[in-house]
Amino acid sequence: MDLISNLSLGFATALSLQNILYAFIGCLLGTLIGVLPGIGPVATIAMLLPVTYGLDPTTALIMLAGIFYGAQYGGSTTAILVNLPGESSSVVTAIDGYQMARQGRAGTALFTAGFGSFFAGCVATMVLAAFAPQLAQLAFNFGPADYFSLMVLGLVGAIILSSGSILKAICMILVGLLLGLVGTDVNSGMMRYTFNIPALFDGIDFVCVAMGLFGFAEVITNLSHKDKRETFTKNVSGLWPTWIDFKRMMPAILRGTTLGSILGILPGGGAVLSSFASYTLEKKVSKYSAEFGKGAIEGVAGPESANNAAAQTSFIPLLTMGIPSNAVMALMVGAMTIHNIQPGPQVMQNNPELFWGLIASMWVGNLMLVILNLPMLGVWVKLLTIPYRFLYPAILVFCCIGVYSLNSNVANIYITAILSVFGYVLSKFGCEAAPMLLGFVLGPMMEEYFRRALILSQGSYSTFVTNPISLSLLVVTAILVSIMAFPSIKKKRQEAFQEE
Amino acid sequence: MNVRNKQNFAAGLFFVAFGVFSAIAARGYSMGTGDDIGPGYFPFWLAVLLAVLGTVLGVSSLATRAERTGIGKLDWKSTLWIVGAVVLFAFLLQHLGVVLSVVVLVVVSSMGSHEFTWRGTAASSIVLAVMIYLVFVKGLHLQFPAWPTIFS
Repeated sequence: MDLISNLSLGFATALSLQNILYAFIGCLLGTLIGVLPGIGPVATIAMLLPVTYGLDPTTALIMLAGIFYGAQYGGSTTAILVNLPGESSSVVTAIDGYQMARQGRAGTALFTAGFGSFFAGCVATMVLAAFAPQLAQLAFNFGPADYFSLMVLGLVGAIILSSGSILKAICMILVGLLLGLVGTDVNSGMMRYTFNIPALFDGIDFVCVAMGLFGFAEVITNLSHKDKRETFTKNVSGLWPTWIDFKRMMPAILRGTTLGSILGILPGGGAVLSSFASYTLEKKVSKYSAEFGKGAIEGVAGPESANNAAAQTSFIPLLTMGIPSNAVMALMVGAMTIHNIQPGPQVMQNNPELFWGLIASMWVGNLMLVILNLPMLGVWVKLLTIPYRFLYPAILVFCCIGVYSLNSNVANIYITAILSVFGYVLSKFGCEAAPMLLGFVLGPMMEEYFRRALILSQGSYSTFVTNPISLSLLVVTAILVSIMAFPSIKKKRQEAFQEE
Repeated sequence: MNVRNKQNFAAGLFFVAFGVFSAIAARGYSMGTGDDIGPGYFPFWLAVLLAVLGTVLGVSSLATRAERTGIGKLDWKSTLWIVGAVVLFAFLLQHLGVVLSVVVLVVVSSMGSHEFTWRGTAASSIVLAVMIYLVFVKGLHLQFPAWPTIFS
């Protein structure tokens, strides 16, 4: 069996002392930033990218991935105890989790979230191991025109499944694509949009974009909110659920895992959408639907399983096709490029230890997270008492140092500062930053595939529609767009994201 | 003129401005030919598309059945403290070294909080400066000017 020999290679890699250590650091950091509201995995991974220069690429990716799924665990703690989503994917957990905490069942809620996440994480990793090789095989048949159409589908899918206005999201993608083209054009050597500023000759580093939009801009946004929060940090006891609790949470966990695994693979699916979808589903199918919003255990179990499952399976499009489906995966593309690994189907052949090591490390990491989260809960709860006025200067310091150390150039800090004002003002106009970051990463790739496709077809644009793979991808894109234009579906979509 | 959806109107204006500006700049680069597109081709058409969609967004915000939104007040005070602190840090880094610059960054950015206290800020700036020195300069050996240039 190929799978078994592959997985044993994976575990041999993941269980080396160094990789265990970095997986642990990643999970620890992920939980930490997951617990702390106001700093997310995108900013953290961006901050740590420069630090991973010196590491082995496999080790670096294992650590960064750990931060991402670790944050899904940590986010639920904050949601349950403070009614503040530590992570955006925990927004729905806060609804019923916080009510459970108010009823003195914080311990049970936390156990449910932790257990659900662990179960979902393990299953989704299995899905990843089973399906990724097949998809990668498929991706080998892709030509430049197919890749271009795939990226169009990826970008359109990413915005349809995200919240907010579609038109604005498309515009943000275009802004991102354009920003991605800044710098020296690789084919002609022409300087584009550099305006004789030497710092722009090599293009804008995507760490600056991520840090400006997700680090600094979020600090500014958080500073303008002055809300009080009520924390249940004193009486967290009785972690173990009763038999009845257990019987109620299990089906929700199974449904959440399935839903999350499927939605995670879709472009733009990811953790946030899955948790929303799972909450809606649980409310529909549950015998106790009247209890939702008042502390229903299914309302914690389902979404928490779904977001963790999706966090794992969202690696599938990245590892098999090289297409990032959300902002975190866009950063993973960056992490791989730093180490001269071109994301795509060839990763599995050229760097099998990286591919299977990363997958195996997710099992190891999920196990570590259960240990980190449940028995060490007290430590994380203490962290919640740190006031934001001490946190945000620290975030700024780490962001600045991270950006500077990219190439020891202060110009990067200025660029990041400008982008943060840009991101903050746009957020006031109701524009989300995530599509822009995706566009930024895909911009140069899309241009390259577009150019190559036209060279191959000798300038005929019909190559995008005569090619069967490319055609079917574009047809799917067109169907998605036209579906979204229907008023009734538009309304449904808005409802789904306003579910509370 | 009554702008019902102020958010979309402002966003539309921004996208049109960004698109038009990028398209004009892209005219300066060669468009190439169909079978070998030049450096101007892709950005030009992206920018045109952005300007068109921005126009649609802006115009639709004027429609009588457009959803009413307002733009939340921009918090210029917080923005200035944060961005100012960051820019100051970048400026000072080459001259004062990373340790002192971190102290300046923490102190200035903390002033943006409505809960600012000197004692808390002093403590956190010292803790962070020591941590940065130990982790990044001593631990990871990143290339930083650590101290003011006159001392080294």
